[in-house]
Amino acid sequence: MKHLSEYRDAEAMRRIADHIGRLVTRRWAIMEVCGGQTHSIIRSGLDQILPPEVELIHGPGCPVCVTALETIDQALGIAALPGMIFCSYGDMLRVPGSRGDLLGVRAAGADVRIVASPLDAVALARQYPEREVVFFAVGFETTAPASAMAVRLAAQSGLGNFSMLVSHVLVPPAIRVVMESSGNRVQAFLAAGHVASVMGTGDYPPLCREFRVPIVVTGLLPLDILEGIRRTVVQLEEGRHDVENAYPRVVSEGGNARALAVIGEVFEVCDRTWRGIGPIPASGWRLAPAYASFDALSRFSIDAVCSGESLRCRSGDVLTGAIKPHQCPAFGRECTPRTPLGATMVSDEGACAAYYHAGRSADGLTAGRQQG
Amino acid sequence: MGKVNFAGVIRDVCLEYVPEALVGDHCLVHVGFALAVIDEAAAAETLRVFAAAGLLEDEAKQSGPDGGESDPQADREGVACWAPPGRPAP
Repeated sequence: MKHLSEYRDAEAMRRIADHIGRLVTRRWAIMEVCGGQTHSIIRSGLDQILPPEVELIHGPGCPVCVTALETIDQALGIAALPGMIFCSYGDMLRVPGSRGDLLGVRAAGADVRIVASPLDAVALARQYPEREVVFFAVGFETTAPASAMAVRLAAQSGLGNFSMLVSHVLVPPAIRVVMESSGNRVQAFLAAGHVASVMGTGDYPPLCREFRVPIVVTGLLPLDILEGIRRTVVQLEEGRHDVENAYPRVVSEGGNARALAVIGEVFEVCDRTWRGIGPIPASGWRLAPAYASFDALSRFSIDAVCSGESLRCRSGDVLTGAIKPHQCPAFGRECTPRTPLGATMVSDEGACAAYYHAGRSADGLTAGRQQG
Repeated sequence: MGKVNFAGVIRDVCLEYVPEALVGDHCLVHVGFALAVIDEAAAAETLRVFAAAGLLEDEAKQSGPDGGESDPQADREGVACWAPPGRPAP
């Protein structure tokens, strides 16, 4: 990729961070919404070269982290059904449910397969017409175009043995929850560039106006993130609260019209419960009535499960930015990527796992890279 | 479906959402679907602004290849190397 290396240039990162340091006159707290950005920030050490006045608060944009415990439990139940082929993105396999995880279900004999795309699951349904194939459709607006296309393809192909456990979530309602939470410290947002590549930037002006916060659509490479921070700091210092697009090489104002059309055909907006946060109105997508026959939850009856979260896990506080991962008493002790108490310790995009892998210890300093 | 080269690894990618993509274009790819064709002019312009502000050592600085990293971004941006017949030639 022609520009990937320039957007990771360590010397340029330091210079831009210094430049930001000359712009700030007071303390600012900025939330990066996207888990991919959190990963990039911690991995590159970008937060440690920023001026001390600029604090990054890690947001809830990790789909693995916010998929409801009840949904994980439903996945475990469906995956264990006889004859089932249960397909999931790899990082969902170690997410703890109330009674174990998908890896454990697989170890007990279930056919749980890691796929890189929902189209792989559709291909499996074609390959094994005598078996049921379920795809675990998690993710934000970025993954929804793939899920929607897979359902449409299955419908067009008359694949009666394919269905989805859908748990798609939406970014703008989460921004609202953060701003409305008591004790909120967030003064500006870096919006997720990949989400905006699909959705465009139209959801953000009303949020900027209502909460008087700048929202800067930002890419995922270190220089992209620094540019997003720089633009955000300029707005904060000038007292502005506008939407800006700092990722124009990928994001257009209207988003991807074709993807939006397929999403609009296959999905409809619904209320959804976010793990660690709770129910958020109109914060997810489920299958529209025309595609309801592809809903795994209506196709299979699974035992009602009583979902219970670990009492020692503070991932909800991490997801809303109330605490940093290493401020949780369980961090790095009973909770590690090998033995996660909560979902934020599982995925690379989860703030807790990002901190753990970067060797961030309780005093916030880098204590050498640990291998999880 | 088309084929996209991610720093040497060629994968099948659905190009349904990027009808404008041509062979040689850089694409943003997520879970098997290209979502956007990367606007190289905009990418270069952002770097040019940095350079003009003295924030880059050299606008045309060349670094090594990006292969072999576990950065999620590394396998999300790639070059379209085959597109279905019927698309206009680049």
